[in-house]
Amino acid sequence: MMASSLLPRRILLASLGALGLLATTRRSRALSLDSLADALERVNPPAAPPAISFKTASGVRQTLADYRGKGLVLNIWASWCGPCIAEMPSLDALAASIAPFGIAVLPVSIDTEGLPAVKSFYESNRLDHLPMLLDPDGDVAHAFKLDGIPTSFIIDRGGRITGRVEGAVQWDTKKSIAMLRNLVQPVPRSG
Amino acid sequence: MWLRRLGLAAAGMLALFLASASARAATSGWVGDRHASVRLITAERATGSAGTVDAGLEFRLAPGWHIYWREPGTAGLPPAISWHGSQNLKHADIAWPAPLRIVTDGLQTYGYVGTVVLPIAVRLEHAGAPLRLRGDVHYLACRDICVPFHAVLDLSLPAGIALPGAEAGLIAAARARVPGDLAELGLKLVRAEVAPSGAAQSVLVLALEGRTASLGRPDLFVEGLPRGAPSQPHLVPGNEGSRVMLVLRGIDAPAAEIVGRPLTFTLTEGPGRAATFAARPIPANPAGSLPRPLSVPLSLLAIAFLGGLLLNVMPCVLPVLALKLMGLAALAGAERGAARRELLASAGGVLASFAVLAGALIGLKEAGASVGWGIQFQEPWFLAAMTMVMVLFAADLWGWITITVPRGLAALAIAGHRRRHLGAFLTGAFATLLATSCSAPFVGTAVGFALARGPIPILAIFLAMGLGLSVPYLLGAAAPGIVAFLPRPGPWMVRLARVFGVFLLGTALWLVLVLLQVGGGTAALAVGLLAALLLGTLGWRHRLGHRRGDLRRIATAAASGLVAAAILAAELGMAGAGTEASQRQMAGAWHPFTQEALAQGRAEGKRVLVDVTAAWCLICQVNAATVLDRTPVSGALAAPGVLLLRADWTRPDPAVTRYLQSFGRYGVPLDVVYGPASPAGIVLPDLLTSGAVLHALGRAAGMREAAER
Repeated sequence: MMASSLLPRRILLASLGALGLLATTRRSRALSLDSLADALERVNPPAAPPAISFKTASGVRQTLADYRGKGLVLNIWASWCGPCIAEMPSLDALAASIAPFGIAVLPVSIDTEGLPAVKSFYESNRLDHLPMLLDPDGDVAHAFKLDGIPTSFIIDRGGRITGRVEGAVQWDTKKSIAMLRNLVQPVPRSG
Repeated sequence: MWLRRLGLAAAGMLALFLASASARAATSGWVGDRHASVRLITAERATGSAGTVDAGLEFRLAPGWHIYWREPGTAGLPPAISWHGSQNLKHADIAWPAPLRIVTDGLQTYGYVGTVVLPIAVRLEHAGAPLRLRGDVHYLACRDICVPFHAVLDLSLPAGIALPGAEAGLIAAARARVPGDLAELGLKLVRAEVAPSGAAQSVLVLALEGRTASLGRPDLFVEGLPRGAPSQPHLVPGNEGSRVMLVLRGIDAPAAEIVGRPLTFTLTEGPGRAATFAARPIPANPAGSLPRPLSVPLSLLAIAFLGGLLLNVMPCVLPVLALKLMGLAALAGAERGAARRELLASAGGVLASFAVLAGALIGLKEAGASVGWGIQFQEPWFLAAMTMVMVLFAADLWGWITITVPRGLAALAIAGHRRRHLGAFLTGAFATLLATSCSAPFVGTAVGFALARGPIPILAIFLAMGLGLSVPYLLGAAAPGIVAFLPRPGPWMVRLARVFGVFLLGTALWLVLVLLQVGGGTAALAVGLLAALLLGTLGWRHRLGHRRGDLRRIATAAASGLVAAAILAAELGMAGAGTEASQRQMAGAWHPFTQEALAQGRAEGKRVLVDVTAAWCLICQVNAATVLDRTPVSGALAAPGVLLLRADWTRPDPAVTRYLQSFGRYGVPLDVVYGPASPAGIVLPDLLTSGAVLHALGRAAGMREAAER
């Protein structure tokens, strides 16, 4: 009696199996960015950053001193750098969520073409919450002695580097935001 | 003391010699770090007298690191080299070996990994004079981070005889990887078209023809797009002959911006096989030479319907004919409503199984498996299962068992007629499964079109075929009064049932013979014995009558066990079967099909007949028996200038599958005649006639034959 129903059931199983195979072989489209917790290098004791400056979109030259009192996520990037492109949307989302906590996201581009390259990149990737900061001569990268980009620095409200991240990470998670809020609190100097 | 001084002098000279030997080595030093480094190399150890030097830029990258091609894609920078400070250099031209597609974080980039040499053709100002190359190289190497590297490379070549250095082989190999032109791959660009896709995107379609059978999974790199980099192209069979279409989706610009734009394409297919060509896309003809994934022309649906209709009269559906007749006769005398419902249930069974078949093929295709019509017959487990099912149905026809609904579903079917409906449904499903072993005329065309497209066309075409196959049931349901004309049930039914039971056993025997070719002797023997055992068990069970309930249950369990055992036996017995099948087919004048044999035969100016066949394909056997192996065709095929190639698809064979797909076909039979006058091949109809074969042979010979006359 049982044998009679095996035939259509087998067809069903075979097709289910085939469809199951389809599900597993579909490549995941989600970006495989590291988490901040994994990629963060704490800088202990906090170090003073090198003297750097960069230009805004309107041509005004700024230094880190202009942001004293705010926590900073300083990100060195370029529009030709694959991992940088991958993390920009998440930096954009971070900038929106973390602004209420008095923390600013500063992406500094070392594109040699300067503003036109950065502007068209922001437009095609719909980055609305990030400022355009330019360093076309690459002095910032040089000053920090970077191994490569993207490299990000977490700077506390006292203006000192408390963390360093090499490579692209997923910035806009609850966990990352909590870590950042923690990192920008200046540790009282002993003695 | 004096001896020691001599020794020291000798050591000193040796050291000097070694030092100068390395200075004579045709390389600069490596510059970089453990992730990426670069050096200049030359093929010769001196500048010679020709005034040219074969140089190269050799990159060495750690695992995970990559550099970029001259067109990097969505991100990246290509290596750039300036020769300022070189002496006796007129100019240096960099060539680019075929790139690799590197996808990271969803970004499409083109570049190189591992070790790569960019060959540089150097021309000297003054031939025969020494050369000093000073290369200022900027390149970007990325993995999780991107590092812009800067290297200053110095290489001096003295004047002298241009003996090959140790790196000559490296540079020659790199040159071989530089893409040539399409003709070297045996291909020709027919047309490049662009069509809009959505608001601000477009689709590029390149139509190629020629040696397209060898294109498995090619990749295509585009230069000259205003922005973005499309992902890997889809290869789609074209509408005629050996034409294929490369479809590039996700072009990040409206079609208007792409029309007339000078674009450069680099096609890669396997190592060392790449070609670069240029094209300016024209707007696509909206009437559709472009394969539109969602649209299925009405004519194709009609063809699929006709194919399904014809499947009704194919010999493989014969066993089910018996069941159909039994079913219809049982309805004689039944009230019209019930008859109609049963017939519709059967039609439903057919349609549902075609839908399931379509679903299975879609799933397999998405998973990247090679699909085709009848591929289930390439699998020993399927043949074993079908054999056992034949035995079960024969036992059913002889009244030994009753094929009914399983206990679980029976609970839902409380009323008697529901159970009958399910039986009718299963009959329809069974008919479908058997029908798939046949390829009626039209079915091949319809299936070929469907399997080349996406899920929706496949489903639509298969449902159209199912509709065709279920026409007898639908006609019956439309006019149930017909059943009144059938003779009433009587002893004639029982006799007919016995006869059809024997037919089913005959089909089971045929399946075992096919298994012999697909799975080998061991598997076939095992399954044959188990099938016989099953028949015996069921017969014994029937003999027991209703009294010995316990023994009957044992028999039932044994029967189920035998069925499972047969399937296992088929798969296990397959080990060591392989060569048997292929040798059997190569009887007489037929040679096994390979692309090389085909190319060879055509190069020799012969006419070539390629016959793609399978042991389980009934039409193929009919073709062979009635046309190919009989006069006058056999005589024409035995002529000296004719080469006969047989491609065996009895078991899965990717080379044969690719050949089929190059003609847009997904099933057997396929017969193609090549000749001096028809290099792309003349495709013969599915069901061969001697006239068609002779005519094709004549056409293929074309002018040659006329000249010989």
